[in-house]
Amino acid sequence: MNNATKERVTERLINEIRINQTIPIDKALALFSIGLQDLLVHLKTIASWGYTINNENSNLSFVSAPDALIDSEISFGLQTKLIGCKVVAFQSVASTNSTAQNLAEQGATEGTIVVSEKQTKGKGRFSRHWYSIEKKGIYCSIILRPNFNPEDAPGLSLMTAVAMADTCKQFTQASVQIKWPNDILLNSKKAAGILTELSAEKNKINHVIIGIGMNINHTTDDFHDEIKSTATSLSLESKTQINRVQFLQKFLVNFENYYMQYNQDRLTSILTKLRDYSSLIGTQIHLEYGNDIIDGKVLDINQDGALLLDCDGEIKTINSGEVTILKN
Amino acid sequence: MNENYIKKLIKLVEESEIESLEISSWGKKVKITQKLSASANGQAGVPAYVQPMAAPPVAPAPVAAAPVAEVVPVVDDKLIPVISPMVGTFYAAPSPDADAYVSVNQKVSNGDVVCIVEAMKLMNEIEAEASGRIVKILVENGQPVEYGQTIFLIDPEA
Repeated sequence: MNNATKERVTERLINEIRINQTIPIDKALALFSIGLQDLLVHLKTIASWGYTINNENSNLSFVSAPDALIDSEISFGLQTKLIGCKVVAFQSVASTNSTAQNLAEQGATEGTIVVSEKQTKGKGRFSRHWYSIEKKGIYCSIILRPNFNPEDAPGLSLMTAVAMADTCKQFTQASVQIKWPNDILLNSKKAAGILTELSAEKNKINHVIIGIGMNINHTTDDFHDEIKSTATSLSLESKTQINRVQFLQKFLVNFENYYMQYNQDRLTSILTKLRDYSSLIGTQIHLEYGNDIIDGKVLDINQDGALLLDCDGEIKTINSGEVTILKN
Repeated sequence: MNENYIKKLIKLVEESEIESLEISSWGKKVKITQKLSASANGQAGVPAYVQPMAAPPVAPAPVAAAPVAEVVPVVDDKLIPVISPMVGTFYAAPSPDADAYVSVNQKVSNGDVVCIVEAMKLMNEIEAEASGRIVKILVENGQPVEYGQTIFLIDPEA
C-alpha cells in the first residue's frame, strides 16, 4: 500500500469512527479490508495528527478532534460546494500564497485552498513580512479562476474583507471594521490582512490567489513590541479560545456565497456592508499614494470599491495607497 | 495638472506627428487630439484642442511633472506596448528596497514579469507580451495608471 492510499484509509477511518461515534474493531477491519496490525498503525497515525480515539472492549470510539489546520479536519462537515473542494495543508510553508501560485500554475482547480500552521515568509504587501506564529493563526490562500476581466479583479480584496468581517461577527461581540481596503480591525486593532495576487493576460484571468492571515488565538505576548499596541487576535477581543477549524469553515462558506454573488454583480450587493464596516468613511485621513502624500476626508466608497476623498473641495477617487486615520 | 502644463502638452502635440496624447494623474485626465493633414479622412490639419475628461483642476496637482517627452515614441509602431489591464498604481519593483524588475535597454523574454500594477491590495504582476528590449518606461514608479495605458515599450527587433 503506497503512502497516498494509506492516508486515504486513515482519513476514511477517522470519518467512519467520527460519524458513528463508536464502531466495533471487527467492523472496521472488514470495512477497510485490513488486518489488526494495519489498524494499529492507522490508529497511531491518527493519534499523531492530534485525534483522540479510545480503543476499549473491541470498540473504537471518537473522543476529540484537534484544532489543527489539516485536510481531514477542514474538509469534515465543510458546507461549501466549490471553495475548499481540495485542501492542501502544510505544517510550515514559506508563504501560502506562493505555494498556491505554484499549484495554480500547475493547473490546480478553482476552489483549491492552501493552509499552513506556520509561514516562514508570510507575505504582506510588497513583501512586507506578515507575522505568522505557529498554530495560533489561520494562514490560507484560495485559488480562483473567475471568468470576468482582470479590471474587475481588485474588488475581490474588498469582497474577501466583507466575508472575513462577517465571520468575525459570528464569533465575537467586539466591534468589527474594515480598514479599507483589506485590514480587519477588532475594537480598532488589526486582526487580519488580505493579500490578493492576480495572474492575467490582456482580457483573461489565469488565476487569482486570495491570501488571508488571521490572528485567532494569539495572546499579547505573541506580538512583537512594535505591533503590540496595534495588533490583536479574535481570542483576545472575545476573551475566549476560538476553534480555528470552525472559524475557517465558516469563513469559507461566507466567502463562497459572496464570491457567487460577485460573479453576478461585482460589489453591488455588498456595497452597503462595505460602507457599514468601513472604519474610514467620515474620517480625515493621510494617504501615502505611490511617491505622493495627500490628506483628505473620506466621503464614501464607490461601486468599484474605491475611496472618494475630499481634498479641500476637490473629490479624488482613490484605489490604492496606505491609509492613516488622522481624526474621526 | 495646471494650465501651463496643459499648454505645454498642446505645444508638444502640435509639434509632433502624434494624433492624440492622453495623460492622467490623480484621477484627472486630459486628452489632446489633433487631426494630422495626412489623416485618412483627408481633412486639413486643425488646431489641437483640449478635451477635459474631468473637472479641470484649480490648483496644480501635487504630482511631479509627467515625463512629457517620453510619450513621443508611441508613434514608432514597430514597438510593442506593455499595457495596464486595470486602473491602479504602477510599481517597478516587487518591494520598495528591491531592484526594479526591468530597466531601459534591458532584454526581456515573452512572459517575463516587468512590473506590478496594484489596486486595493490586489497585486497584478504584468508580463511582457513579446521578447525584445525595453526601450521606454513611460510611467514613474508609484504613479497611477489607467486601464489600457501603455507602461513600457518593447522593441521586438532589438
